[in-house]
Amino acid sequence: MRQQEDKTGDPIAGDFLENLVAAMRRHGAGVFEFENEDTFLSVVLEAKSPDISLNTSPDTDDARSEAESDIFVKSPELGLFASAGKSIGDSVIRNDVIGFVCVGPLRLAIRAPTDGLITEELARDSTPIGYQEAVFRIRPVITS
Amino acid sequence: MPDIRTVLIANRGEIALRIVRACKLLGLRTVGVYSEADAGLAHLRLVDHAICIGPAAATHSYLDGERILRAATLTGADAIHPGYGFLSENPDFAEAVERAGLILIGPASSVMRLMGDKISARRAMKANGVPCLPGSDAALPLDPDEIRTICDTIGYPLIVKAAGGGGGRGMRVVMKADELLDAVESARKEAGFAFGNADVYVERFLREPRHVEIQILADAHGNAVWLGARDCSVQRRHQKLIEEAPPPGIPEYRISDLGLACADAAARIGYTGAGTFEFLYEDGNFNFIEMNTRLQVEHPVTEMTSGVDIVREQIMIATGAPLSFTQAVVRTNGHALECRINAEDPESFAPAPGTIKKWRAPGGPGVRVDTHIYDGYAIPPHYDSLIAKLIVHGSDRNDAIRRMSTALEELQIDGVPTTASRQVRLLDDPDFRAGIFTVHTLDRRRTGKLS
Repeated sequence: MRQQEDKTGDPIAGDFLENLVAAMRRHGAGVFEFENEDTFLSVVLEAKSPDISLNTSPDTDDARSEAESDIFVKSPELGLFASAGKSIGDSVIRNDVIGFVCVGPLRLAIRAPTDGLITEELARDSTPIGYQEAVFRIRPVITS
Repeated sequence: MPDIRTVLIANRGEIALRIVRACKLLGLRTVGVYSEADAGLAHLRLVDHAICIGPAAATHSYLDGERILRAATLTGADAIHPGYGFLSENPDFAEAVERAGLILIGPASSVMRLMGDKISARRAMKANGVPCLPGSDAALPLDPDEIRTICDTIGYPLIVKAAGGGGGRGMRVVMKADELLDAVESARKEAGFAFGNADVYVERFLREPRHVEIQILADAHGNAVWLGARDCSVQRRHQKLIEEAPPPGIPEYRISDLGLACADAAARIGYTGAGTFEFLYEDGNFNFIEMNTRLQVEHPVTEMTSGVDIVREQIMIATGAPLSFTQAVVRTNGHALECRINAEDPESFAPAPGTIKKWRAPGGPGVRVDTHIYDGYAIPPHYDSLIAKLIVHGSDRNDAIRRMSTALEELQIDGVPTTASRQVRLLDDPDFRAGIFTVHTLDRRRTGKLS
């Protein structure tokens, strides 16, 4: 889990975060964001996959900020990942099919949750993928 | 001979870690599965491949046989170690594993089914010379008059038990004849809900029994050995708190006779792997209650006294190898105790999940700790509250108790309440010291009546 401090620099209280994360897990929410006049909180639950390195170390503050807004697209099921030909640098539109997870005879589509740019491929074609394991990282395109 | 190269561990917590270690000793590849709530499990760092199989709810992860099999197929596992709990005694799962062409590290599904049904297990044990309580040898009929006739013959008090059950569910104690039919009816309902099998049977109820069990190992070549007995009488609500080997105060020759009978019965029914025959012991008599067709939580107690690595042997047996030793060389030595350290309120035993803030393991000669916890580990609320097993070995019972008391004092677990403080007191309890704790002692003290 990555967690971000609020803009005032005060760390978010541990109990609150624990409860929030528990609720997110319960309801299957991967991202939680909250903003008011003096607080911005973003909590992203990462699929922890010991086999896969997220390999992200942005060099600059801007890059770090962009990376923190990235969305991890997760496999909806335990199965075999099948590529849809998308790779790093590709632009995607919300609801684009960006891959599949094969569960026996079923082939479940994995769709882009937002318009954006694929910044990382986290699963290789024809390899096992876990339930809710991250398969792509997408940097959202902010449209005003 | 089946070839096992990769073992999928269909479990979590300390037992998953224990199994990984045994696999590594044998040079086997390992696959760890975990639920969404369990990504931080310690054994996942040690396995060759870790894969998330489903959401936190056990019914959609560790209890979902289809998902476990899918994970095995996806990761190229050729054997599945079910550990204890979850799917470890589910004959349907065992059969599905066999049908998939994989190896379950445990007995064949047919034998698991035979011993999983308490009525057929009882019949098989009686036929093979294992002592059983007076009771019905079939499911109780529906006709109330027939039920009364059967139970009046056995005599009161008696206990109504679920054929497909365990863990205290679907059980009713009947002290007098006029309580019988209501008890049978409610036990049937509970058994039907809990196990999908409403069949119940009855046995004579023992008022002050101890729980004594025999650990066996059996291979596919007809060899079976017993490795000693354990006393697990310190229980609350059918959940064990302290286990020890050997059982105090029971003559060695009685245990030996029973052990031989169990090993013999295991070989006769075609049992393979590790298994435990459970008995109630009262007035000098052993009475078979059930067989656990899997590894037990308390197996380390026997490992400490016998020197046998039970998990390693289990895996070797699954490869088709004969037992690596014979009964003639099995020698038990000294006395061992195990305390199950649960994240629970030590008085009410209510589960208390939370985060381990600081963890310091005790050590020293004869001290073993089987645990998956570490500083910062968050105990999920979805599963069993067992977080560690503290096992000690001493030259005799008094020595083992001293070592356990010292180890419990040294143990430090901050962040959640645990049963350790209760176990410290239990070790000083005059009834425990005298070796006369029965399975009802703790519950009776708590509620003032039988559980």
